[in-house]
Amino acid sequence: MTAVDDDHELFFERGRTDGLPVVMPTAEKVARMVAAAGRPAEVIIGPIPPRWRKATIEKIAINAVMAGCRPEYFPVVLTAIDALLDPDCQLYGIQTATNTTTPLIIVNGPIAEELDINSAGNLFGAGWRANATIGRAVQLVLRNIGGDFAGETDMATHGQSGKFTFCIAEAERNSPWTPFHVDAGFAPTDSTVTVIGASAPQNIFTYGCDTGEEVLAHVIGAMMGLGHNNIIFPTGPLLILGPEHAGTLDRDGIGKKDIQQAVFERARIPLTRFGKRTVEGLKHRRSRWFAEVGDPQHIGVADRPQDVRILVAGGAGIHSLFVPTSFSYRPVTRKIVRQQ
Amino acid sequence: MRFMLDPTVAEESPPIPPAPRLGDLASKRLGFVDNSKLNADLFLSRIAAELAGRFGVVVGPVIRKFAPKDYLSKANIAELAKCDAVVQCFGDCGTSTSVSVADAVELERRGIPTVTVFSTAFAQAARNQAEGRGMRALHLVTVPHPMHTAPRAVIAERADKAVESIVGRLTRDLSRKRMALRLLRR
Repeated sequence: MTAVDDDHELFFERGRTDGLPVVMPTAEKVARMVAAAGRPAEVIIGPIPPRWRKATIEKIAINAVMAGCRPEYFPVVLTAIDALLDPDCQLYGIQTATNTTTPLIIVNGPIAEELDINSAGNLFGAGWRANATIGRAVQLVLRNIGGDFAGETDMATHGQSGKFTFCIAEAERNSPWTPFHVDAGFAPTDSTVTVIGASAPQNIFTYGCDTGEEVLAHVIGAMMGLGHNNIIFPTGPLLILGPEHAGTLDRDGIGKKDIQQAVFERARIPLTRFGKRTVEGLKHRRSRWFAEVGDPQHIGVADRPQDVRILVAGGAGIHSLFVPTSFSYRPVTRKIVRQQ
Repeated sequence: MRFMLDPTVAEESPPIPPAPRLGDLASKRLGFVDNSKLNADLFLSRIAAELAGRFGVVVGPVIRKFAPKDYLSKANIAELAKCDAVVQCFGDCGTSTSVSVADAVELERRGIPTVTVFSTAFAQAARNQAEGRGMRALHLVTVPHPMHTAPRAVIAERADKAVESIVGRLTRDLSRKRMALRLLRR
């Protein structure tokens, strides 16, 4: 066994990895990562929950090297961590929950193509270095710096594979609509990172549907089951529409605002489907719904149309995704500042 | 890791000692936090009645959160700060535990003795999370897991059994022996 192999085992033994081998963080590799930060190396980030430790740019760079990031990915990693620390993200709750929730990282703007962050086919799957390693770097930071460990502070009943990595880009060129970050108030030329507490995406397979209205009915129907997070949490669901679905909807005159309105008005579950104690709990936890919407016989998946968030991503095929969200008060979007 | 840089940060949060305990409870005004976990209201009402009836406690504000993931608001904390001590119920899932810990540490930091009830499945997570905030002596009482799906009669029984422990944690500092046991358990 060589010295390098020994070091690999040492990282495992000391609990420094996510269960997969890491790239060895040599001083040279870390220095290259730090140089790409786009901000001074002495800047302190944090404290990072759940053990509330302050990170230097260098410490985050070490974890980014271990995750396999190229230096040019580093500003995305840093911006994602900045966004996660926004109180509206509720990172500490996400980290410590029994829920499957974990931060989903969404990249918008020119940087997504520059870094080859997958927004097309299999974007949640394996095989794309940027998606895999940016998401992994963030998770390693939460583990190695934040001190979040399964069974110690992370009390997830099941967890999910997104806790290894959970990073995508929007397919802006394949969308008939404005990009997600532009809807959030940024310029199309800005590059941004958005984070939100998210469970694993649920597939929406629109077999046999020809029209935008039929696609919309399936999207709404996918959110009508019991037990998903957007019944209990008022965060509002995230829809990741495949480009074919977006095209069909747009062709039939159904835009983003129409989808938001339709989900708000139609994705409502009769309270008769729930037991008495669940209804009592919903009336308390979703009190804004009962106070403001005027439909006391149902519970909707969003309190307001604007809480339904939509982006376009994916490859060819009649599939879209319903991503149940939770804990975060809203998606948090931050502009990426890059080295001049 | 001979040639490698360390990805971790060793620095811990500055230590926060718990507030001094009350000694005895007679005529002391207690605040209560129901974090809205199912059965927390039943458990707390039983505890409050016992503390008033048997120990002469004055029952102060009962704050009910919208969801266990929610922190106490500034107004909540200001209201609780007028009490001699606080009892919180309960942590029996991830965020009901971690957010109760956050609130407990904040109340203790302000000098308000606070006792939080956790189910056995989450008590160690509570200690770990409190330690991460600098509180190595979190005053907690454990009850069997689960609480939110337990029958109401069982909840009442568990509340009755927990009363003496809650009184102990409100009135007496953690002994060195108990602290040593906690360290061993880690």
